[in-house]
Amino acid sequence: MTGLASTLRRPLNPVIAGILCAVFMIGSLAMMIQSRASILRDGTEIILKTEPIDPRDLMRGDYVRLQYDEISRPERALFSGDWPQQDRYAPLWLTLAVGEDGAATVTAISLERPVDAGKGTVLLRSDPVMLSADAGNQISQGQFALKFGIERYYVPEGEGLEIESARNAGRATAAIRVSKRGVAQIARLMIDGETLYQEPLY
Amino acid sequence: MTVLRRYLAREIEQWTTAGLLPPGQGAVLLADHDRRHTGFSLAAVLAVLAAILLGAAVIALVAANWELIARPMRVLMLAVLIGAGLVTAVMALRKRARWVCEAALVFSLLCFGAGIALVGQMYHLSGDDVAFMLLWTLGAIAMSLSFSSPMAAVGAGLLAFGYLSAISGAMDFGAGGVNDLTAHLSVLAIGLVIAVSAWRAGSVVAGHLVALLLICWMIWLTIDKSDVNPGYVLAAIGLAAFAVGSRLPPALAGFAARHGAVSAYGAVLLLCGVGLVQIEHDGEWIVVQLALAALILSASIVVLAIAGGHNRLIRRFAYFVFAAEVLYVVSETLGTLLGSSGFLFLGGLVLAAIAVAVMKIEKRFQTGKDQS
Repeated sequence: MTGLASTLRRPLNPVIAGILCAVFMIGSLAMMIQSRASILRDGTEIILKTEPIDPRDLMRGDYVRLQYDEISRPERALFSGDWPQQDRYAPLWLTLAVGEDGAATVTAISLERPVDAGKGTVLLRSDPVMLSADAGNQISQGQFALKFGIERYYVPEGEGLEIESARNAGRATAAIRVSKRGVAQIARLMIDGETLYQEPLY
Repeated sequence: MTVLRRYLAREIEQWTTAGLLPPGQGAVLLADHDRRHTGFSLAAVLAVLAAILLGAAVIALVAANWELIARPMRVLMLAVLIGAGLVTAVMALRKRARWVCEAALVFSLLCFGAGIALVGQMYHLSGDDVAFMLLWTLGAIAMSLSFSSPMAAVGAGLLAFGYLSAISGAMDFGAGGVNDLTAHLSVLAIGLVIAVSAWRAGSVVAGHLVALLLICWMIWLTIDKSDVNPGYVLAAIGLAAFAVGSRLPPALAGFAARHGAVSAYGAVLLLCGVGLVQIEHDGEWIVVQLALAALILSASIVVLAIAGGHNRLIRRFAYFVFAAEVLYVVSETLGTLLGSSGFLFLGGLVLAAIAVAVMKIEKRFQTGKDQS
């Protein structure tokens, strides 16, 4: 075997190997936590009406699925700018006007991040979606349900029913915090305006 | 007792009866084999299985979302478990207990996955499957590279399949013409890095996982980026791999065995690729179909002639393809005329004829080997 190959194949000192792995794994978890906590702490708050239903995830347990009709199926006329000429897998940017009580309404949708959003507005970035060049403006055809990474609310085993019954009456709302980069994070889940679960920072 | 040990014992007995080995020598050979092949013992397998069960228990505990333990406590608990696994691995490695180390690493890796799930649960993340699988895979890669661990390399290979399926699913698999180079390249890069870690750890299984991953990646890319049937791509790659594997340039001699795995992958891909092309042309002009059938039949014979004598997998696969293709041709051309009973009868005759031919070919391989 050549010198390079044997160098690459030489086993690492076990202690160094252990430290490297620990730093990577525990560090990446800590970074995930920090990035989310910072949105909860510093993000702008908006209030959205929601409709929960509850299935289960293998690794994260029971959750209530949340649907946000105002922002996931926005009005067709709101899209501004040119539809991409080539197929793209990209996020869309929503400009939301936020009222006194925090209630948010979509005022514009665009492919690029709007430069100047104006006062009293929040910029929200959707999860990437397939934008097909052939299909024409899919938003105006109502083909997508946009997602924002806030479509699930994990609850302790068996506790989804309480929220579910409130869902039936359509009384649930969610307070969402949005970071400057447009990332959304659930902060509170409310029924009849009263907080059911308040998310701690950590 | 392993399959190899049983096979060896049987062969040695054969040699001893035939007088090729002096009496008593067989026992000595077997004892030597036993002394050197204690690596994969039952205890080792059980240790790894136990680690998998314990890790699964941690994952289930996270999924239960148990409120009695405060969240920061749960995060801390997982960090401690990951750390404990790593410390155990380091200590086992220093005492040269390779399999204890492997089991501890598997446990740590599962706890890492549980940790990512826990953070997602804490902050109610959704639609993050791609990021989830990517981070978990990267953890496995880091582990495999730093510890030269075969089990972690296998884990990385399996998780990489999860990543591939998450990202291709998110991008609407096969939607056609997706313009996202990063997503496609990320899978390739991960595959190559796992290949390095598999090679470093000396894990054959992980190597095969990478090969399969890259083949799946190629199919995904072909479907996404072009209107070409992936069969053509597979056939082209297979042909190249088979040619390289069977007529190995001397420069690569230390890297791969002649008529070995590369050659076998080449043969399988080549024949599968042409088969896919044939399926696409099903129901078209009979001339086209017969031309394709002739191509497949001759390809399997050429493959047999070049590598069949040296590689059992290639030989069996080529026979299988040949037989399947003959039946396909018979069913396409005569099936409608003869009715099902006639078809089955003719099929039986054809297969019997193939069996006779195969026996003759095997005999020639045998004599060829004896002469060389």
